[in-house]
Amino acid sequence: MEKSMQNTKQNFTIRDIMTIAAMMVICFIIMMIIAAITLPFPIIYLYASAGIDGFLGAIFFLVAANRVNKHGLLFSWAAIYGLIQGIMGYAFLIPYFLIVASISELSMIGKNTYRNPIRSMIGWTLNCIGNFVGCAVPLWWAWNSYKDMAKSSGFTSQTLNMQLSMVTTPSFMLAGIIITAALTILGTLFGQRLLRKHFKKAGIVR
Amino acid sequence: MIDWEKTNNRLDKIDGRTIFFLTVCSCFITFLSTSMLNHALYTIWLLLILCFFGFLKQSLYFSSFYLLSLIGLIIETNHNISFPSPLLLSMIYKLILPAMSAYLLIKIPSGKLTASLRKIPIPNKFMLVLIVMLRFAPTIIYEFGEVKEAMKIRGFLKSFTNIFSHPLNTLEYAIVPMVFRSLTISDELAASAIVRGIESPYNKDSYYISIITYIDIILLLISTLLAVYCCFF
Repeated sequence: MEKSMQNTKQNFTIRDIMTIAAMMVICFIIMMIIAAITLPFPIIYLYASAGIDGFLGAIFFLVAANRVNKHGLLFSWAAIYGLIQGIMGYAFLIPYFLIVASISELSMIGKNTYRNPIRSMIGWTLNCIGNFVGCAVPLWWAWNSYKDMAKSSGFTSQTLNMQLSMVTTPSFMLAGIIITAALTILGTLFGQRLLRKHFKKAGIVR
Repeated sequence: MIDWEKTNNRLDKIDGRTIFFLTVCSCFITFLSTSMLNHALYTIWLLLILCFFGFLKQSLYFSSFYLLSLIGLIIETNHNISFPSPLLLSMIYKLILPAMSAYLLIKIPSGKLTASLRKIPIPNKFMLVLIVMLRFAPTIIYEFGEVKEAMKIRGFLKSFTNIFSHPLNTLEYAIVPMVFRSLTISDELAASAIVRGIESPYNKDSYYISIITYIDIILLLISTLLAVYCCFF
């Protein structure tokens, strides 16, 4: 009986699922708005959009993490992101995002890690870095077909060259990863502040 | 069981999996098709489907947005104009296609959609998150509008200088009520789902009959053939 109760505690309840879904929807809507705003500025779009997503998304992730506090949350978050990418045409990205999801989830091993500010920061940062690197996968996968698609979509050759140099030059990729990590860490710090200031006081999260 | 044969709404007679398949096809075409003509061809097909299901007004909106952004993009790329950004116009015209099929998906009653998608081999919890996300999106957009209105009334969105001089404060004022409202809605949804027995370990049945009819077969066939043509030719 006790064992079954423990198992139930470990599984996601329907309330947890609804919380994750609600926070993920807001996160995705914000990601789409960020993409639309940053698209006209290729440098920001290429190097910082994943970081900005990580900055803003951190708040929603932290709310979900502190509320749910169960293992598998970060895996589900990243896997659903990959699944949506797959539905949107990048089916070959699904295994990649499953790997990112597993690595991020592995960083959360331990008791009550989802309520630990440092561990949540590490997990979320790994996930966002994975998202940034994920942008390069379609280009590594099939540069020629990507180039055709991009040219018909209004990409200028300057933007395309910038994209190619970003994904083929390790130092540029490293710069992108550092920018993403820095913005994501700042986002988790801001998110932690909001958690303490509003959500913990209101009793929404512990 | 609800007998959809007696109802007049065509969308009620269609299986949720067909619309889900249409959404997947439109997403694939959006990202795989390199020809504007092929993309436009599939968009016309989806506009016809929207009209068939009685969404005439919506199909007009979608088609006018599509045409405006596409014509804008063609003019900009031919004359090297950079404002508004051609990438933005390209994103708008490309996303209209999945938006149309997602609109149809949203219009299917959630019980029917759940019953249909339960037959697809996706883990139940992932499927639930996807369905809730799909249902939640319009609510969240509405809530964003409400929060924006409240911020306007309280003078937080007076000017760009005001917003950009205190970006974190503006963000906080926007995000905190948004999260509170969303969590309240999600709790209410969870309570409603629990009352309906969603956590029951037994096999679930539905009030909605989920079968593939001849309309589904016709839609699936034409959509698949068109999708293959638009992606690879």
